Amino acid sequence: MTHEPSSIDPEILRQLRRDAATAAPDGARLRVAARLVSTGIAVASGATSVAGSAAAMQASGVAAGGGAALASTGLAKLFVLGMALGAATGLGAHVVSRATAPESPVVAQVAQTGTALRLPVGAVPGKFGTAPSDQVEFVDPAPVATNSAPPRERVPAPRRVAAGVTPQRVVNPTPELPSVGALEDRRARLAEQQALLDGARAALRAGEPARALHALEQHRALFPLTAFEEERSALEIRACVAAGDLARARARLAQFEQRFGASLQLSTLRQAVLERSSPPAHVTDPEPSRQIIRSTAEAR
Amino acid sequence: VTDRVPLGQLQSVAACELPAVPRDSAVAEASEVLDFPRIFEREFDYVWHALKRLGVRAEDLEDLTHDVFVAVYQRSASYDSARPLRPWLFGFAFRVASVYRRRSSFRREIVAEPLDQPDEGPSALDRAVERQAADLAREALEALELGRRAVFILHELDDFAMREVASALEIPLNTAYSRLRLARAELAVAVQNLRARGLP
Repeated sequence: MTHEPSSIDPEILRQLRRDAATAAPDGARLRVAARLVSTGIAVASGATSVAGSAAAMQASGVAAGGGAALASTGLAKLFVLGMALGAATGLGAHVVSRATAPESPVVAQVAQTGTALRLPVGAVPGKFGTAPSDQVEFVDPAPVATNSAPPRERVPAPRRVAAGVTPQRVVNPTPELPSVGALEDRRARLAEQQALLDGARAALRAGEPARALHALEQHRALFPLTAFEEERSALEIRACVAAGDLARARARLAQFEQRFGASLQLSTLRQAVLERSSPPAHVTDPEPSRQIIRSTAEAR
Repeated sequence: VTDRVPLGQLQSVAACELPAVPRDSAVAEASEVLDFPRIFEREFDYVWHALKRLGVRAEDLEDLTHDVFVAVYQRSASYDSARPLRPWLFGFAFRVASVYRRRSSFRREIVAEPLDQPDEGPSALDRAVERQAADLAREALEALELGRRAVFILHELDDFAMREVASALEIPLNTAYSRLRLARAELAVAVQNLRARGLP
């Protein structure tokens, strides 16, 4: 592969790259983080978050039954926001971040009643309202580490543009938007699907492949057409391997390869089936050292 | 041309076709595989701009960025640590953006920078020229079909190898090359057309 430059106008490329180098708007990161925490996804890291969370909870005087802590250090915009969820729900969440002094976090308290997250008036914009400026503190941005791309082979630009190529614009006919009720229903079904797949995963981890396969069969019967097909098939292959049903595992793997040839899980699935397919070395191909030991013992 | 959909109906629409948040043991499993907080911290801007470059409207970026990170969290077990992270993240952004565009009766929208955006040009004229050039580049990119645009962004703008691009978008390598070739041709034509209309 050569490293010829692209035929694209360098000025166009420069403009497009420059666009991507800018930071996301202030507050967007905080709001997204708060939403992730509210759905049970912790975006905290290490002891800092735990300490920050504890300090924040102490400062806010709100007891929480446990939960997820969120802290961000070295964010483009450091922010401080504490979220404490009610103890009655058994869930707690804290979003804490500070500049450098762990003993002085500024905390914005969020209380929750029932299942609905209730923030102070205007605590978090977007889905949660708008944050009062004295509850969310922004300080100077810290440099954000960036992923450097690995060296790559540049695809040579074509010498000439293919004939008959015209830009295609996306103009779809306007489909009907699903109603809110339909979306809720869909969410409920997705949750049901996820529960079945979670059950299968848990059974696999617990060393109960039969139970995992049962859950997966249930899922297949209830949801023959699903967006989770890849996940379900992968779990099924693992369950078959764990159950020792290698013929079925191989058949499922062949289907998986056809259907999800580019899946990131494919290599590990192949390996799982292969490892289990290979008989133990000492059965068919004894190690020379063992042969020697055995023959020595027989000679004696 | 913008086809506005009432806010609220669109929120997290992409999440409807993505797995729900894992619970209990799945949560622990996911966190063992990937340092999610670190990824969120370091790659938030990248995901944000990936969605923006994939044509997500400014007012929907926050919702869809959330959806991408939920999906990333759920699928963290599928991440191969031997491969670069960003193409993998971009794959999620691409799928979320695809659903979004299908579901929201998407119409092309050119989002120009706000007028009060500080520019670094030495003069008002330079700033105006630079701004026009940026608008042209964005509009030309918007002209690309989404699948081709995704390949173009990952390879031409983010500098990832085609092997990684194909893997991230879950397409055969030859298809990725084909899309790149078409994307380049389409972009060149789009730039030509826009310039013919008087843009710089």
